[in-house]
Amino acid sequence: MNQDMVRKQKKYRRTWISFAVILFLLLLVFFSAINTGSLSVSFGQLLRGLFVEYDENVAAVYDLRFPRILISMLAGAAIAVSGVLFQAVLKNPLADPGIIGISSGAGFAAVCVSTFFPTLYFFTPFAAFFGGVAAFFLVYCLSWKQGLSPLRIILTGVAVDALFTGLSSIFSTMTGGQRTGVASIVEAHITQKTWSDVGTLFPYVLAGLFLAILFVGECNLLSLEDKTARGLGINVNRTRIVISLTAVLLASVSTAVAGAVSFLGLIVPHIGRLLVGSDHKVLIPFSTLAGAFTFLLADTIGRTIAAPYEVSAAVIMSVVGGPFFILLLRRSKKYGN
Amino acid sequence: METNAMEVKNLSFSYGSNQILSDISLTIPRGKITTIMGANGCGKSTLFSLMTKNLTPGKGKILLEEKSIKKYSLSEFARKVSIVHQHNSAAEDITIERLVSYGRTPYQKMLGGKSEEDERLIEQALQVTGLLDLRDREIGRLSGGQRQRVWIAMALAQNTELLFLDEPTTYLDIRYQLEILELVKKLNKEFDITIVMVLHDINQTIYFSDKIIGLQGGHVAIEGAPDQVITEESIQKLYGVHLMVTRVNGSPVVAIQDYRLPPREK
Repeated sequence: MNQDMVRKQKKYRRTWISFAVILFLLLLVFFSAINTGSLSVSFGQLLRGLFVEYDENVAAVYDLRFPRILISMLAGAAIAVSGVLFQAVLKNPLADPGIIGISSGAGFAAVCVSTFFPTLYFFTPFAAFFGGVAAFFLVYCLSWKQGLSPLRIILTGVAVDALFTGLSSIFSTMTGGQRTGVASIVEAHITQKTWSDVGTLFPYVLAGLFLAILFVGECNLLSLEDKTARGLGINVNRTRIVISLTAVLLASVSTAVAGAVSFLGLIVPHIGRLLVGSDHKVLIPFSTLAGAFTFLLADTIGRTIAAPYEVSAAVIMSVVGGPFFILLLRRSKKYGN
Repeated sequence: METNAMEVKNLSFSYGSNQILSDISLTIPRGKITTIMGANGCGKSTLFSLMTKNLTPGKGKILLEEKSIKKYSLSEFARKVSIVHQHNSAAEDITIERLVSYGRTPYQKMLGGKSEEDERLIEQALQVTGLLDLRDREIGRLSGGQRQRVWIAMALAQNTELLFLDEPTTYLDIRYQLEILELVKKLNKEFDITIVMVLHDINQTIYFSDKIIGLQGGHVAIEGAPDQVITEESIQKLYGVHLMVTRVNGSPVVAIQDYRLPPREK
């Protein structure tokens, strides 16, 4: 057996271990999230309460904590996969739906709906999607100058992000900052989420993840030079647009429900690449799990760190993600030009 | 069977008001190695892009099996013509075998697995390019010469009658340049693949080509077998520099002894 095969097998083993570990961690943080707060239920009690007979504590946990936990997991998975897709489409390992303004564009559209047409709340995910598309379009066009340089996308994205975040803040302040819908999007608070919010988020995230899985082959081909991918019969521009829309969908709906979160879509895929490699067939499923884990962990930490006050998951992500982002920028020379 | 694999008819192309190619016609003979040469800015890259469907002609047409290439869909075209571009990049951590398997893309259905035919052609491409032993190696761990062979293997897995190569020897030292050109020759002889390439080195062009197309100022200046078209006059015409053309073993060889440069342009 030669050295290459040894390396290949090592990588294979590392991939399996990574999946096993992330699944275990996800379950672990899931159960600790259930038990974080004034009520606590044991594992056995939980199963009995859910499936066998009524239990007051379990019912309370089910109504109050489950929606929040599921929303964290769904949003985390969506944002992480959205990050992977943006990185593939823009050929930019620094692309993150939060940093390049997609989330805040979607958030702004969602805030508009909540402010002006509060009765149309069910329409929020659609509005968020169009807001996200508008932000992406802006970033793409404004940073186009004989090609897309990674750093120019980030700079333009930061500006677009600032613009939409500012606009959302204005609306939030105008409405007294009390309207829960607006505040929850602007400040990424998921404290008062209910099962109906889970119902809003679930189908879109599922559809987005399904599309992402469908495009794994195309994502891999986009890592080649455009001309080379074209020579293999791929319509590169059309593929870019379709994958971008999927990424925008995932980022937008999660913003509409859980608020704008930055750095998650950057950190998770990066760690994913280190552990399981850059093949999207593996990276996308891994990022789904790792994204769910990371968001839920951030939310659970946010609930405990300053109890009884709550720090939002978005704030936790920024505090951890900021330094991480700087580290990536410093470590790689190729982002500089 | 048609003797020409590809035909260019009255082709013109311009970027804005800048005319790059004016009314050129040429043929690519089937089963031969044809090399396009010329000075910088003569239009050879544009011609290459046009013939590989990366640009669309302003006027005139390019025929593949008597049908304009405009009428081929991208994947239909990819089943007839494979292209190795000058600049290439890939994820550093994928294996050679994986990258070569991308060459089967034009034959695959969405979500479909690899067929036996796919497996066979990937295997063959690896074997012909001498990459069988390296199949599990990651792209990031390859030398320049090995990388270039991987791109050729990927094109080979496309199983096409025509193979286009844009300056396949750039960035390589002479040993690997010859290794690549020998491989190209082998593909032509053993698999009967029609080759079209752009080369910079005049002597390599003469030695490895059956036909030379020399462009100058957007026109075809020379077209034919190297023996017949390479002269001191034609080199002067193509590159604006006087070089010595001698013969070694009966074939023309360009030497730089007694070269004469024209006065520098302002």
